[in-house]
Amino acid sequence: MGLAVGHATRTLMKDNSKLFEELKDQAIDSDHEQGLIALSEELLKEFDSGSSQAVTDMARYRLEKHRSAYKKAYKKLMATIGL
Amino acid sequence: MENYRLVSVKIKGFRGFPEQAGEREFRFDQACTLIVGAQGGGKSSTLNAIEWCLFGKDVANKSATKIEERKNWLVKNQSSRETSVEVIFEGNEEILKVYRSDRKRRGNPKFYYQINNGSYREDEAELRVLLGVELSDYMSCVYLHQETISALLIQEPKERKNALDRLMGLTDWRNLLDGIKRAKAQEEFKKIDQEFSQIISKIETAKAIKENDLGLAEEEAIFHDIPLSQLSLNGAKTICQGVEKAVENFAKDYGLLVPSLPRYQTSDDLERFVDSGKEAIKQLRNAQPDWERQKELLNQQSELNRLKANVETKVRELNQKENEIQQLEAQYGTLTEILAKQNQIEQEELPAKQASLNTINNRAGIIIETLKFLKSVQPDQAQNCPVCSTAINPVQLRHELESWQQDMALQLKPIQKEIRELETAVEEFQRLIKTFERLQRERLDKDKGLQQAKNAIAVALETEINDSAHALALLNQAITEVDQELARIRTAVEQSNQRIDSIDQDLENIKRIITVLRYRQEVDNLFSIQDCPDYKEVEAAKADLEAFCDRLLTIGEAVQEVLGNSAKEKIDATRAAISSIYRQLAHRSDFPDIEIDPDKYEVMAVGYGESEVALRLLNKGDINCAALSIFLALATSEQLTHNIGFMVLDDPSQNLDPVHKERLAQVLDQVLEKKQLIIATSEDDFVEQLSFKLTKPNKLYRLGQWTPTRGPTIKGNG
Repeated sequence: MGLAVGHATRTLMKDNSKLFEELKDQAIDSDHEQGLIALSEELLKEFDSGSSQAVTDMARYRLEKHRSAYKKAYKKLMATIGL
Repeated sequence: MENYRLVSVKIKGFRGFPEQAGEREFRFDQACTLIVGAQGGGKSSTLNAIEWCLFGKDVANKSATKIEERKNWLVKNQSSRETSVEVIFEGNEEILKVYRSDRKRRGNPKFYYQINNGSYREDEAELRVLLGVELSDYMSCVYLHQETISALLIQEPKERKNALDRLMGLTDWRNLLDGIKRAKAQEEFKKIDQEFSQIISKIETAKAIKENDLGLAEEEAIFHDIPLSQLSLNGAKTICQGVEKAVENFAKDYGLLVPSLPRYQTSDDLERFVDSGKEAIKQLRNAQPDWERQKELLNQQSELNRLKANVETKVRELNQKENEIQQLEAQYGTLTEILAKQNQIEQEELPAKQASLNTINNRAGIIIETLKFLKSVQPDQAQNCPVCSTAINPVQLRHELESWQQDMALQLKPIQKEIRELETAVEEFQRLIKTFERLQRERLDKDKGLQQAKNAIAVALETEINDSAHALALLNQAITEVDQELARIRTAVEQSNQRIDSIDQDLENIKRIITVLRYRQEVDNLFSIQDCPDYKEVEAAKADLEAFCDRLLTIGEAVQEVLGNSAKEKIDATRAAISSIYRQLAHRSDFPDIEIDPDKYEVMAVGYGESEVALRLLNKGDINCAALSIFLALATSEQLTHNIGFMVLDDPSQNLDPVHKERLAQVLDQVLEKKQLIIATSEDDFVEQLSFKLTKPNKLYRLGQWTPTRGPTIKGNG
């Protein structure tokens, strides 16, 4: 257990390296790893500046944005199909 | 590296320490410092002042400290204007001074720390790095609060888990994990998968519909004698060629301008060709000479028939008026005769009757006047006649006069009746005369109308008209001639129309082929829909959403893994210490040991090969012992990375019986081997036990007689 100097904002932060190590293990390739690290940094930042609800809100917002893009593309496809 | 030990704390204007009482100092120059006093006497304020100095406003935050009572917690003493705390630590061969105030003073910053009286450093994060501790660490590994212990007693699993997380300093990981889970990425993942699989089924449905439409369109084409082999672009082009030629021939045959038709190389050209073709044959149909002549003759036919109908109507109306006049004459005589009769009555008969009436009236007037006179004469006074001087018998005369009056009345009635009848006859004649005059006027109008109708025929036929019969004869002749010419020209028009209809039929067939080709294209498109950009876009949007869900889920799994691993590490590293402390505190014979099950995340009571969930088995005192064991073991663990060399225990013996207090004092003596202890308590028996059991020197502050203006009295034992 080491202290990540320069990241002293929360207890959690000093264990970030563990999380990132875990994500590296779970990533299937470097792109996947990059995506995981980037999103986890965003989530941790949100958590640091707010609470677990802020994490939920941020994740839901992003999910809704993706869903909205999907719905738009879906409607367009249905129009092309003629349904 | 040597951990930082507490040397002193100076407090002013903080919670239980009013500013008016000045700066209050506590020195921690022994291994153990006891702060003893009644509840509400300033003990906890002393401990809290250290937290506030190190971590600032977050200590008054329930979610940051995980302590319920920190809700609406005030830092500043209510009667103070300023709050300041100074804490001095010693360790790592240096003196660390930390200062915090809620106001700037004499140019000093609100917060700073100094090492060996060096320069002011204001970066709070750097101080935390130096101490290796965050507030949440401090609250779980340095500061023991009763709420931490009581949480382990709560039955609700989530609360128990949270309590263990707090003890192990893992609360944030747990909260982060909960936050990620609440986003429900897994459900979103399933939902998008289901929705996408519905697209496939919709495409299949669309294929079936379009194939059916195509089949119907082909049937329709074949029904109109288009061979199957011609249901193609080339087939349509062949028909276009035929249309083009037919249009050209038609125009030439009738001496018309050949309409220009667009090219027809591609499917898109075909619709334009059909539209232009339709327009061209419409123009040709209207422009062909026979068609024009036919239209002209039809107009003529229509006009002649109208004139015929008009003159017939006028003749009929005139005849009707004449009949009406004749009938009237037959009944009442001619107008001249009626006028004569009227004249005779008015000039002769009526005046004669009137004269007779007047004569009788004159006589009657005399008789009436005479009778009036006779009534004025006294019956017994005989008089002579004023005219002839004859003696008058008034009674006899009156009788005679009354008899005359009756005779005249009888004569008057028939004359009056005759006069009335003559007057009625005159009125009747007047009415008849008016009727005659009206009918004659109407007959004149009808005659004029007939004359106009005949004139119109004369103009139309450009000839002289003698009478109505002549007009009708001429009209009938003209109509017959027009009908004959129409019959002849209609045949010619039908022939040319057949040619145009044939072209139109070809154009319709081209449209049918277009429909077939369009449906074929749509079916083809559906069979290759997965290659179209719109489908790719949906796939990409789905992939993006899935990728995000995957990242979220993977991060959640990773956090879960880190949480689990961290918990296991801490549990493994402290298992022996927890067991040892618990054995010393609890002394249970059936289940002498406890451990934390890293998988179930439960405190288990262990004994002789058996283990049971501690909450189900242990009494309240044992649970307190278990919580103290876990805290003390974790707080003194070699695994800890923070640099704090002291522990703060706020009322640790609460809820313990005297025996357990004695054992706790014993355990704390061992803790002193590793950590400096600051213990606040309100229990004198525990203080007594500590004085017996602690083998290292200790210092005691006794707080008493707290007042709002002076705060507590403080007595130290040296």
